[in-house]
Amino acid sequence: MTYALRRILVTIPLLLAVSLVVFALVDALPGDPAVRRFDLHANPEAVKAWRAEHGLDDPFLVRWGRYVGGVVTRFDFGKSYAHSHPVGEDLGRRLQATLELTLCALLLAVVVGLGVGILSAAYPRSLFDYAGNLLALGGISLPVFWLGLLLWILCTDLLGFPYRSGRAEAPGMATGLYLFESLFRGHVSLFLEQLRRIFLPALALSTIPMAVITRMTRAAMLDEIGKDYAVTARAKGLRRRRVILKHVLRNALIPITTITGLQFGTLLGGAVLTETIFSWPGLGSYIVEEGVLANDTPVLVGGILLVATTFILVNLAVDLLYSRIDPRMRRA
Amino acid sequence: MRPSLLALLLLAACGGERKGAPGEGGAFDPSSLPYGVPAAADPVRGGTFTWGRPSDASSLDPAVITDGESVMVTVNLFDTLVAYEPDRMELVPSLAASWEASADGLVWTFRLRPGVLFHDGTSCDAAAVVFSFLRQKDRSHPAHVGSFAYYEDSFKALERVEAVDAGTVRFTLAHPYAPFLGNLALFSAAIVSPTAWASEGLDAQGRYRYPFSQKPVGTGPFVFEEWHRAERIVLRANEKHFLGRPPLDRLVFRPLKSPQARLQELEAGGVQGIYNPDLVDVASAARDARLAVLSRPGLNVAYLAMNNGKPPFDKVAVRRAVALAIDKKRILKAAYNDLARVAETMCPEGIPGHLALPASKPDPARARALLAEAGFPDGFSTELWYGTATRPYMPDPEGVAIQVQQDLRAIGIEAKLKKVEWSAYIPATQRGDHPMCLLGWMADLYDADNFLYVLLDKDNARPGSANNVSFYVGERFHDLVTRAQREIDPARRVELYHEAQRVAQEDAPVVPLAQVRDFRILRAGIRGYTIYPVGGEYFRSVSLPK
Amino acid sequence: MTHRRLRILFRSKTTLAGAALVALVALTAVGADWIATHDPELRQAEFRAPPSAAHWLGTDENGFDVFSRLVHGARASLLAALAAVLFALLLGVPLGLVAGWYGGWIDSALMRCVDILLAFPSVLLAMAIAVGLGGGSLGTVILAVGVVLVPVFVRQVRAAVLQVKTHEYVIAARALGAPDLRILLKTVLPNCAGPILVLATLSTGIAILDAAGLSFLGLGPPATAPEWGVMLTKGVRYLKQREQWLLLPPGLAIAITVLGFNLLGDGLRDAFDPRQR
Repeated sequence: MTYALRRILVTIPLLLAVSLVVFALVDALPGDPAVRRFDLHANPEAVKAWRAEHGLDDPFLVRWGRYVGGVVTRFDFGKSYAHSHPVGEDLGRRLQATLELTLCALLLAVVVGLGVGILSAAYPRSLFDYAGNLLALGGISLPVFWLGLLLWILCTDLLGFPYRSGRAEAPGMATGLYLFESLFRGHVSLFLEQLRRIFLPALALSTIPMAVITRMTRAAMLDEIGKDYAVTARAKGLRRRRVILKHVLRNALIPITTITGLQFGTLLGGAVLTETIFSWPGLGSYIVEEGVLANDTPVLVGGILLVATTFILVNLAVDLLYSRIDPRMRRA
Repeated sequence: MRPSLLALLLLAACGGERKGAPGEGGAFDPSSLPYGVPAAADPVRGGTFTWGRPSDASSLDPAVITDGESVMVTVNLFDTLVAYEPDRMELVPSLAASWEASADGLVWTFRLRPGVLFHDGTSCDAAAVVFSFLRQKDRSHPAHVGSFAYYEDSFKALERVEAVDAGTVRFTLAHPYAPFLGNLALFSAAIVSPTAWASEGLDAQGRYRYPFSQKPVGTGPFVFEEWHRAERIVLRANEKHFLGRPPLDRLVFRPLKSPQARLQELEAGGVQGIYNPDLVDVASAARDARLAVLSRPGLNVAYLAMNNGKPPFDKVAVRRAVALAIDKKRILKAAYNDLARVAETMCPEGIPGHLALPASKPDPARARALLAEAGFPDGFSTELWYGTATRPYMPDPEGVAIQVQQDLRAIGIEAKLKKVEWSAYIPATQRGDHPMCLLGWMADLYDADNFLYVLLDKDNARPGSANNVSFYVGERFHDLVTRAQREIDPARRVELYHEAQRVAQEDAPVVPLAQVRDFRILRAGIRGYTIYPVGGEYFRSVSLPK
Repeated sequence: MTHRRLRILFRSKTTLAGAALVALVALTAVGADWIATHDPELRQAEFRAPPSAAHWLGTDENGFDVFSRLVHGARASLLAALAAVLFALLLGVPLGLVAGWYGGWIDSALMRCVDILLAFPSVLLAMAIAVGLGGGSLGTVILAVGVVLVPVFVRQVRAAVLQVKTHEYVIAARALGAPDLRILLKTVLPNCAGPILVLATLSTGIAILDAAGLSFLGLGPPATAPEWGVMLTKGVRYLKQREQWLLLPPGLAIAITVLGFNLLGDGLRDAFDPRQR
């Protein structure tokens, strides 16, 4: 079996196990959700009907099995306890909003991280290198929600930029990735409007991955630069910039790609904290505001499961990509 | 790259003066703010008005909802038989053109305004009115979908409702019920379109399939267009409304969780008006020329309830001691930014029947003495529960809880704070799980009954559905309040309510804390909006700036 | 640690700076009772007062003295982070040793469990665990953050063990018939100590950030508790009202502490780097 196929097959039981863990964790919440939910004027039949509607009377494994079945076949994540509204619909919309934000942040992190990392490696122990290193260290030491707040003050109060929170109305968009689609379609004003709203949360979110990618790039590049082939190439008289960009970078890309993929997990986690501050209607704020703060089990389970699944799938994609880039892996 | 920390620190430290310092020599006086902006004589026609509020609606079926977020949308989609005029709180005709009651107060006949149409084009006639009430009353009605929280309280006395002819409806009550007419102005008494309900047939349980709570059809000044959950609800003007087409083209409701985000959006122009700003921001917003801050004394009360059914709060002496320990002024300063007034009784000022009691003064020494008398010389331990949601009457429940905890600690009562997530909080307090809890109430009706009966009467102390979360079962109080319900003479009613409040003060089942002002902030130049003291945001007359 | 390693460690200025920061925070945590000017949970006279001579960092919205809360917060945050890391060590190291040493189905089973836990973004998993535990106390936070750290420790220890297993003296010891436990404790573990120490140090920084995040979301200790994450919960409000003395100190405290652990951890990693041998 090829590596790719094997890897994909291994993912399936992983996803199932993850869903079991999430289900169990949230199920562990003390108390009876029906009792928690029902307020005045509830007659017992309504409570019973509600329990039946949410399937709360069945044993754990049956509920889990039914849940997973529903998710896989119909994207049915059940109905929220609060409004009996299908969670799957909400998740779909919110996921797109989060993806838009994380992709933006990732792009920013990669572009800046790679740039600074390469330059730092090219001019080691220079002022630029030290400054970059220090800033990177700072980046991974700051709590992301605090940084978001500071950036907000900086932007709105001190720089006076008319930042607007939330997403803009985007009629006529096929996907939920308004920023990218508007660019693709050439709707400049819509693109700019989306940009104005997304840049602040994206910037805040990007700082940790940016810092990690910077450090990783620098380390990987320095590693490669010291290797025989690079030294030989320089000795043969090839120009330094050519050596770095063409040969060293290409080899360094392998660990860099892996790290970038892993940073997606950090981004998803960071999104949970950043979205609430910036009122970005994504999965993170959904999980926190409607799941955690409102103790709405289906929302929590669905949200966490979706985030975890996204993360697993991205890792899978990175792994497969890795196996293509690294010739040593392909033969395995 | 990110700016360096040090630079940020310096910049932030130097770059800002503190805005709107609270209680700084009482510089800001909210009573100087207007409570409405009159409608323009020649309003700007067209445009979109976006209203920012904390959360999304839960449902748009007016009879089922209990949350303000849903109510503020439905009052623009539906009309009621009678309505409150905002300035003098008088009942004026709405869908009903005129009405009369029989001498014994049991039979009420309403003549409907002719020619009113639902948004789907069908006629709003007596049959529709009967439908709207019967579906709440009758469990087996095909449109009886969900539970009707307000029906029991407001229309318990309703025996029969029938269409006399196409334009006349008759209500028959089981006994005289003074709040009846006012109850018809409740948002839950809105008239819904039977045609829309029936448009998709019945399901297996014999209920209508049509998702009315997501696609509402009424007679109101605005028509439902679309609902993107957690992002916006869009309504458009009803060309054929019986009071004329509203000036606006579109009305949009946007949920923005944090009050800072709402204010931010307002300043940036993303919304044109916001509900429930953070009290801390009000003073600085009032100085901002782009904004117009409105304020009105709220008809609400925030209170500390002691579970009279649980020792040691079953002892009057203990409850009185707690009442003496609380420093209400300090709570107002800490958790309300001094933008509320002290409440000494559960019936807020502004509602007929309110009794002006002398201001209470905290007296920790006497409180400790009372506790000792009651058998607790060293105090005791208990729990203080509070909910996580910010409510208009208590925008900062945690802040209030922390202050109360400190006050109680000073007299020897160690109250452990217990934060309960909101949707679980209401059922829990209604069951009486709590020893002490923080809660409040906003007026649904312009009637003392809505406060005193609902919050303190023993009828409402049934564990599991209690609104009387102090579980106070005073007989004398009950007698006074139920007599007041059946008393038609307004002056006599007021006397009864005054007496009831005196009784309540002696028994001290709860400690009323505050009556909060309502605040709204609009973009300067918006016309035609008034704060309604009883629930609901009405945008029928709103027009945009020139 | 050998002399050479210590020298490498202390040669680096940044590592020394890191150690100094950590020491500063640790001392603050230990001496909180003496350093704090007021009782951090006792209401003062003024609410939301800016910094003054009486209250060095002003008071917060409940009337508590901010400086005292900051100082006591060092204790809470540091304690929580160290407890979480200790939990991860106590669970992760033995599991890693077992997985790496015995291999076979134990290894596979353990690594599958690790994979499952690592399939979640860490903040999310910590949140889910905290919610499942009911939230509302420092203990919940410690447990949630600790559990999230375990898989990383298991993996790292296992990798180190696999490496050490190939060394001559280990092979020799096995051949001589020494009991497994003895080899593990006397030979394998000490050789893994370096990477474990590095991981523990860096993880402490991560634990502080995760714990602060959980408290910020309200899943940690109650609002009256002096803890850095808790102090930032109303951060958005302070932002609007330009109450910098409420917004900046806790965040800076977290940043400085985490930076210290990161610098120290980096330095330790360089000192234990096999290429420096």
